[in-house]
Amino acid sequence: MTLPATLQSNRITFDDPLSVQEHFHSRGWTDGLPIVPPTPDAVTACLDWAGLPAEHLVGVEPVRGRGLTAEKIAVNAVMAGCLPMHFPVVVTAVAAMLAEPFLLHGSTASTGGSAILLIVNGPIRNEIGMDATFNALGPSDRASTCIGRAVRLVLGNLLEVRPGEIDRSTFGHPGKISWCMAEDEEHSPWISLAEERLGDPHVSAVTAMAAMAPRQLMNEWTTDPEEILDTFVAEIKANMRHYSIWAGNYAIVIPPQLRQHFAAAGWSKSDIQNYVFEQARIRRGEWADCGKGAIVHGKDDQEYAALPDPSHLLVIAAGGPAGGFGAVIPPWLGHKSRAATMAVGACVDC
Amino acid sequence: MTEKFVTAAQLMGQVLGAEGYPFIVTEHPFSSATTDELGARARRVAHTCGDHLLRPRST
Amino acid sequence: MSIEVLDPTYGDGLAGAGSQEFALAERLETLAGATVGFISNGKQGTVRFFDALERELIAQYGVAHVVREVKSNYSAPADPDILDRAKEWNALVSGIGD
Repeated sequence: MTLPATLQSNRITFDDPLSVQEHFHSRGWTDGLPIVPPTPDAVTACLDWAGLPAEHLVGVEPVRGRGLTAEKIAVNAVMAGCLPMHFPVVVTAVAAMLAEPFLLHGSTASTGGSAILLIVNGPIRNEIGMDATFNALGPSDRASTCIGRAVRLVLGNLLEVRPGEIDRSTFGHPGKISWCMAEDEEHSPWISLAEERLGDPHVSAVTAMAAMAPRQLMNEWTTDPEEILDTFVAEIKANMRHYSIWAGNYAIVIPPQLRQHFAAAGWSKSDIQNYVFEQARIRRGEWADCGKGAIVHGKDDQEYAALPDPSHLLVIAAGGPAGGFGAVIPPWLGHKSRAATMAVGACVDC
Repeated sequence: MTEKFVTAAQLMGQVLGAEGYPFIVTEHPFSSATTDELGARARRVAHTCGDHLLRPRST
Repeated sequence: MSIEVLDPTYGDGLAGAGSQEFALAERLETLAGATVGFISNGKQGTVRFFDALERELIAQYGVAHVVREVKSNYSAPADPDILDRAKEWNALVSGIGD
């Protein structure tokens, strides 16, 4: 099935692909890296693969009331280097980000500088060649890199989330170039993040989170789940002291070398969530220890939990086979943006 | 609006269909300013409030 | 050989569909005796600033009442119930973009 006649975007003709690059860069339509020219055929191939008509409304950005169509998302996905088979994940990611509790506008405009972290679950990970092992939080494979980049180009080109325009980040972080990862369901003793959040063990799904840069930790000198988690908790508490005290969605990434200890001890994701919920707390007075005494306001003993409840901890199995490392990924700013999970292929307006 | 967010406010006016939406600009930042400094800013902002909230007086 | 590509931008002005009905409110003749609402974004520094602005508006213009509201989320639009209450005010000051 081809739908070329339905494409609505303005068409621009160039003498050669290099001219396309320079035109797109000069208009601020790229992230500075080379793009794949979004030809009508390439865009149509994406739409065909996902079975979406060009005018399909993927979602509406709630603050501005701006609708994002499948066609415009496909144009940006092609530019990012996506193959047609990647496109359903991009569409799902955008739909998840447009869910109202995600607060896309606030999280992408804020001086806080969060990136959008995408976590992919289910059979589609393997179908499109995502790799949840080596370099899991970096560029691990083509699909992950291109999907994460597509989302960033969508933000820039369809919502003007560009530095100094809507995006007012003081620093930002490298995850804003592209940040997409798969969960290592095959080598995990646990239910997947998608099953936990959607209740379906077979679903392919994307979870989007407004995420600060990952904070890496190391503890390979114990097999005790509580001691391992104490290191994660210490990192969460450091974030609460140094960055933001407010409770929200934290993600923790646990690699195989540490997962085996949880499996041996019979610890589920739920056990991990409950332990972290109880332990990851600081007193407001601790701010005075790190130069922020001005905002303690005499409430030294007031206690703050990192998580509103245990389910706000996203426990993700990923990482290369060796290394007793872990990562804590803090939320943009407490509960102001909530992680959103959406099934691939779910229709949001029917 | 503080001076560091003037272009953001102008852009938000545009994207919300209110291009040229008028606003008062004051100094940045607030978070580390003293109460006296904030009071002085409030006094200057209050002077200008009339221009924004009231109909222009005919002379 | 030429190459034809598609424009990747939204491409229809910057405003979204939800913004069509915008119009500035009617300006007032006077603030004397008026009820003025403040909608704060809730950041720390706004409290002392709005305290001072409240005093100034009363002193400089004879404002009768100042109603203080704080958004539940400083990165989101004002909550619907605040906007409902705002209908009772003569004028509104929102801020501050800090």
